Amino acid sequence: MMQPSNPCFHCGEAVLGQGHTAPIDGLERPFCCIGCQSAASAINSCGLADFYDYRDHTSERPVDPSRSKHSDFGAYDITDIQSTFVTAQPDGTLFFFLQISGITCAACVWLIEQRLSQMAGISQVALNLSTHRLSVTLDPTESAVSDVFFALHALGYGAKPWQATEHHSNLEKLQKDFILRIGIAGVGLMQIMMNTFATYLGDIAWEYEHLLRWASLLFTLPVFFYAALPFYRAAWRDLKSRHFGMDVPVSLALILAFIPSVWATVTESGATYFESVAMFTFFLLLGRFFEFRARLRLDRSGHGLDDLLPLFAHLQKDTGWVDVSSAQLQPGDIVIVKPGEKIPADGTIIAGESQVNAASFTGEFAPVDVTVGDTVQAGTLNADGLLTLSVTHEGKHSSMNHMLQLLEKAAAFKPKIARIADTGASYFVVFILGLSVMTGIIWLSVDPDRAFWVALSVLVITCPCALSLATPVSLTASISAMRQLGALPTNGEALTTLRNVDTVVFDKTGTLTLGQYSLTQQVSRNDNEAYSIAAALEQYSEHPIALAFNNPTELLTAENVTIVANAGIEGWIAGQRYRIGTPAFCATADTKTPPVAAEGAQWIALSQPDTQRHIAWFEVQDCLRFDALQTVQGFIERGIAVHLVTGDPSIQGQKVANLLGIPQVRSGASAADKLAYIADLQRQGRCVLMVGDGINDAPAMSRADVAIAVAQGAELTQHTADILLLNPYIHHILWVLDGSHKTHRIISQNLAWGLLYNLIALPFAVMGFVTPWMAALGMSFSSLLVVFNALRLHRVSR
Amino acid sequence: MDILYLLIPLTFLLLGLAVAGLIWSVKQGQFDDLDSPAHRILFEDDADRMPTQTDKPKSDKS
Repeated sequence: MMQPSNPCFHCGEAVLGQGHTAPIDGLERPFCCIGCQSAASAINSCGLADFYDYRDHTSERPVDPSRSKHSDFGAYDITDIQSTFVTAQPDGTLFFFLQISGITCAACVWLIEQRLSQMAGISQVALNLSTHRLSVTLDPTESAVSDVFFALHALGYGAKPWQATEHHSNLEKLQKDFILRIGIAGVGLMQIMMNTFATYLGDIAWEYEHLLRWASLLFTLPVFFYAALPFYRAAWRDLKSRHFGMDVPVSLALILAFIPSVWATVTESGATYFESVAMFTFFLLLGRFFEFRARLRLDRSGHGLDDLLPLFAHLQKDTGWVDVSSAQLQPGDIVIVKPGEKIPADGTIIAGESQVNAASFTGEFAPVDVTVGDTVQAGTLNADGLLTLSVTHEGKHSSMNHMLQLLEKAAAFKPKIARIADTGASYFVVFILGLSVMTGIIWLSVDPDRAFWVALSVLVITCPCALSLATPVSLTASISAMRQLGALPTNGEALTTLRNVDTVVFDKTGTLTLGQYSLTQQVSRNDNEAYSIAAALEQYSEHPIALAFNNPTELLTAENVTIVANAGIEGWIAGQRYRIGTPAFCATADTKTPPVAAEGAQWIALSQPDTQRHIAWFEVQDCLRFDALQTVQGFIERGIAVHLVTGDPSIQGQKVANLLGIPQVRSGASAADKLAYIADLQRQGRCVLMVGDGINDAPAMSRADVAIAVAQGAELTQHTADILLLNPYIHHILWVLDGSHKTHRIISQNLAWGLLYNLIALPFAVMGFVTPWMAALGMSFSSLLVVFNALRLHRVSR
Repeated sequence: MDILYLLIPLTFLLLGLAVAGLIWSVKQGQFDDLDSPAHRILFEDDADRMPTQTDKPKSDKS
């Protein structure tokens, strides 16, 4: 792992500048930001600093927990909202599930369970590391539900109520199903092997062999009829759709080995192959299970719309303001939206003015001024003023849903991912079936008694197990290697497609740039002091500019803070009144005109209105990521065409493109335009990789051949991406690209071995030198070799 | 070798019990989290019970 020279003790990212320190377990430790520092301090003050010894992955950088107050979670104590996720137990306790974000390893499980167990009234707490789901039983007389949310937040984890969906319960059922089938196949396999070995080992009286055969038959019944059921079902589906996958020969081999063995047992003649049936079932199930688990891991993120809408809204009723869940809002309802809250439904402003941040929609983070008469969209963030809205659409008709519909349509047009193994293997299957039948027919004229068993051996030994394992096993190993790079492929095939990519389309804001205001210049006499004052004031703001001031060297406390919409913030620090915001808001007698702002940049002022003293100018703008140039150059070096498509209509897009050397630029593109742009490239025969972050990128991303979502993007976007980038380093995409080439190499080697093995084994089988149990063994060995070769992909290269 | 007539039905019984146990534990949700138990064993949550250097090791007689 590439370690920065001075890593943050909590998240492991480089500590820039002076940074922060805090004592953890008696030692002064460095931190990159206040968020990490306060999470670590919270962990330490709970006596759980051992967490840092236990964990084997660094933690995610949390949103500064100290910015949230307990009251932010107060809505979870409202009965109306609790009813959506909390179950009241007969003994008066409450039981609920929470979906936790920010979990990186098993130590997080330990930390969360320990911390919650410390709280009064919590009688049961369990966090599932596979699903990141936390179950809590709590006595409401001792602790409130909101206490749990607040405690998790203080540790740097995100939590939201979890409700069972059909999708989830299906997956859970499938996992239980798998375990049961594997268990039964395993138990059966062991016992049948034992019986069979007794007959292998030399002379055994026919009477006893007969007994053992009957025993084996009975043990095989649950394996054949229950454990192997998924193969028959899938084979039947394949037959109906006339697409020959792996399950057809697997089922055929199972049936053809089982029925004659039963016949041989009943008629007391011939040979039995119950052990082959069991072995085959067991190992194949195991392989399928590992594949299923890899997919399950990826299913944690995103449920679309629900996450974008706020949980509750302040509704006006005859009796006053009532908090109700957003889903209940009807057109015509009057709601208020406080600063920093998300807008719960599409509506028209009837009172108040503010700035609305539609970043989750447009990807552009700069807020838009709104006032009476303007319409606002559900899911956007009200930055700094109090708004009163008249609801125009209920949740399910909101404009956000139109985006979702666009998304669904786009996904339907996604080019079919080349399943190299499946197409290859399915021809092979047809070939083997034909060969087995022919071998059987020829043997009928040579030695009719053995004809059937020889044909079966051909079927088993050539069963393209190694061939069919070659791809999934390599992909699984490759996925785990990618995870070490901080990239999470949500489907394995994306890695094989990535190899063919010849065009990459980048989004600008939030993808090539940081997507948030950063401080780029400061004009003041005492930089540190001015910055710390600014940070103390901005801490109270939900405006995106506040993020530029999240790293003060000195923690000051501001009091009596008032936020003036569209202007700035005023507050008292150490007995002095300060103002930060627009030059007009902070104008003082000695204010000079601000320096000329660069395109896309903005100057904000800090002043002391009482003494009429101007203190500082801050220039904030969206900055390029530090590795943007390196990434773009890397793509160009690899011969991949780079395009930039941005929703930003300003000249900024062209400027970024010039800076990074991107030849093709398209500015001011809406979500539909981006989608059309990708479709156009595909019509020209290009294989397109889309890298984006905002919801407006989502339709284009679901259309692209491969899509990568960068860290901290909208959840919906992450849901449509084939690969999620979990850390903020976009140059890791290049490593993922190289990794996909390596994966392809290993897959090719595996396929070559599978073919070679079959070519060698086939003649022996056709000539009748191989019995079915030898065939089963040979097949297993060949599969193991493929697995070991694939495991080489675990080694990460960068 | 006639003992086989007793032993084989006995294996059926034992395996039947094993499978019943498996079904029970799967239904109980004991296999729902296959990731964390492997790590859990390594976490020392009994730190308060461990002897420190100042504690004298207790002898068996005390």
